[in-house]
Amino acid sequence: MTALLTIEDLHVRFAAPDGAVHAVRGVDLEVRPSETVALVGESGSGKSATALAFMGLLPRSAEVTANALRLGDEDLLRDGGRRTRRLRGGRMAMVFQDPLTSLNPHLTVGDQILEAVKLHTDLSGGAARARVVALLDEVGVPQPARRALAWPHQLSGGLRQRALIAMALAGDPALLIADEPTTALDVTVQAQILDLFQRLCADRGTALLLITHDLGVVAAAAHHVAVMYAGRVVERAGVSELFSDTRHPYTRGLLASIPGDLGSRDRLPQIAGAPPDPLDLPSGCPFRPRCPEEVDRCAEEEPPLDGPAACWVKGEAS
Amino acid sequence: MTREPGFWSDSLTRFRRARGARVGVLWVGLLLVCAGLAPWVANEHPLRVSHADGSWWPVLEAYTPEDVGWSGALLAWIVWMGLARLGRSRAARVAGLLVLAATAVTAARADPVNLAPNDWGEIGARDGTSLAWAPIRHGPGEIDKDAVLVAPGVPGHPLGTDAIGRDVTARLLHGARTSLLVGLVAAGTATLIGLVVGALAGWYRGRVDAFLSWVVQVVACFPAIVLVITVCAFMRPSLLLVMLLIGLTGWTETARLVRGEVMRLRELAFVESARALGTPGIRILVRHVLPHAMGPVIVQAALAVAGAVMLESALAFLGLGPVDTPSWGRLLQEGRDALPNGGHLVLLPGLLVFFTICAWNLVGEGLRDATDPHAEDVP
Repeated sequence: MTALLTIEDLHVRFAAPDGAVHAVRGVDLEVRPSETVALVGESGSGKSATALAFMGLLPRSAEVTANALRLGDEDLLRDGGRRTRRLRGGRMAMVFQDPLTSLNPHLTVGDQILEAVKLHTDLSGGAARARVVALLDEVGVPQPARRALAWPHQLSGGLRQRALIAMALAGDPALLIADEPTTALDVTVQAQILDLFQRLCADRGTALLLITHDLGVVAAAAHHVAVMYAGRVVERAGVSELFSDTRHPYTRGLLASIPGDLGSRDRLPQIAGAPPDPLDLPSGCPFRPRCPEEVDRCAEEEPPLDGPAACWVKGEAS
Repeated sequence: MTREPGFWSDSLTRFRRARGARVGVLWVGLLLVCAGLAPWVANEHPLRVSHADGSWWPVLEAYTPEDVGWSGALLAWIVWMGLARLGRSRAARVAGLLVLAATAVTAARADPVNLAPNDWGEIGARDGTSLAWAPIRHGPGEIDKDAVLVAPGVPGHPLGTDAIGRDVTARLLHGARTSLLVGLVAAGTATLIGLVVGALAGWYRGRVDAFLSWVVQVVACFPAIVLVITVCAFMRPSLLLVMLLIGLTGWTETARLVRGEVMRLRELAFVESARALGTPGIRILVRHVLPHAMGPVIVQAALAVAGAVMLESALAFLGLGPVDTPSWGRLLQEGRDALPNGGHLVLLPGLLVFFTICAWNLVGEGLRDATDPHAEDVP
């Protein structure tokens, strides 16, 4: 099956006062139809920048280059982004992290979804309003007709996130990109929203690119996982292989950091050191200063992602 | 199924409850009453002539498009306020707009009869004919040769006359029209230009912003009075010219305000969210960004009205306004020429200008408090 989302050799550079920040350094990614792919990494690893670059939502000051950015057979690199804007909210849609600030406080929830419906369908008037209520119902908002008239501040965080998902679904997208959709929510609501994503993707056959730093979310929702570190994908695997046969020491560090059965006085496990300064990456493998398994070659050459992991020691890159 | 009141209806409720704003609106409303009823209060012709065969209304025959406009505006305001008081805010808006539309049509088709300076006394003396007069039997331009520069309190001239025998009450009433019109049109023009320029500069940034900010700085450096003096030296001064000149020089504050607001707002998450939905840029600007900037803009607009009233009075005082339009500033200047006699000619228009500027400032302050999102919730 051909891929729905194709990213080949994506680079993103931001101009900063002290030089260019190379936020994404050659990312390859594929999402096939109806598949959920998780993009995992800590803050600053370039996972959001990758998604925003694909959606064409980075500020103009960001320099984006790639060998290919494709949604199905649409080439997003042509037409200087015009094609991307036409597809946004239609064949591809995005859900953001903070459901309160992502809704316009001056418009009712229904009016905002209505705007998306009118932009991406031929419906108008009563039919468009009925569609808004149907969408709210589909994302599990109770009393959808009444909630359509509510202002954003009258809804709880979970309901706001559901409303944003309804907006994203208005154009019946083939690909949904969710940028940490559960981070700003309560733990109980997180589980509900994840269930909702899984149900929607199963019902509609929508592909999902799920950006997260929460491996619990990954285990629950994703089919495939790409782990990012310092602007590159360092490990790529099916979700069960990732957890059972972890190849990259960074991923292993992440897995070891999940709080398990800890005594009250135990320290939380963590990866030693801090993420590298994007303006001053270490030579060779960027994870080398924090890696417990460093060998000589790590300082000389950055390992490519030829096999499942970009690592000289555990990967299959000779 | 109804939705709860949003930000703007909450703001309106808060505005209605603010005491200062009430005083300001009351004064402006009073000016509108004066402007709308001026020909019915001060008229050298009788309001109604009735005789054996029927009756006719000289006041209506002589209604100019200007009279129609002001009376219609007053009527629209009364209809709107009345229905809004009854809680029918949607009906109030529709009815008010309908009255305004009807006013515009009527004003465009108005065909005023130029009544001759009839000897109404003789007509009134005929058998079976009676005349109904306005409370003040003098128009704003009529010269009463028998009563030059009389002090207030004289029968027939309750607020006295000026140096050539024109009734001060009539001229002050018509001056209210000039004050309202210049204030609203000039401030409206300024706000509109400021809104567009500021929005474009803040939204597109970069070169567009650099150019527009440069224009703002150049225009902000123009001293309006000197500009008007210069333009009036080359063109025949008219009220429209004065309004446009005040508007064309007074928009820079609004532009700066809107530019800053738009630059702040365009970075907010819901704007990115709208972009992610494929909303076209201009639509995001108009629907998602500008409504959030409108609070400060309408406050600025109300304060700009006060500024425009002040500037118009100053220009008229310097003798730069149109000669044929009664204006408080012009009355003030004429009164000054008559000093030390006729102190009322200076005092009355001066007080009116003062109170009007205070009123518009009170309205502005009330709007500022009402549109403050951190204000207490309306219970």
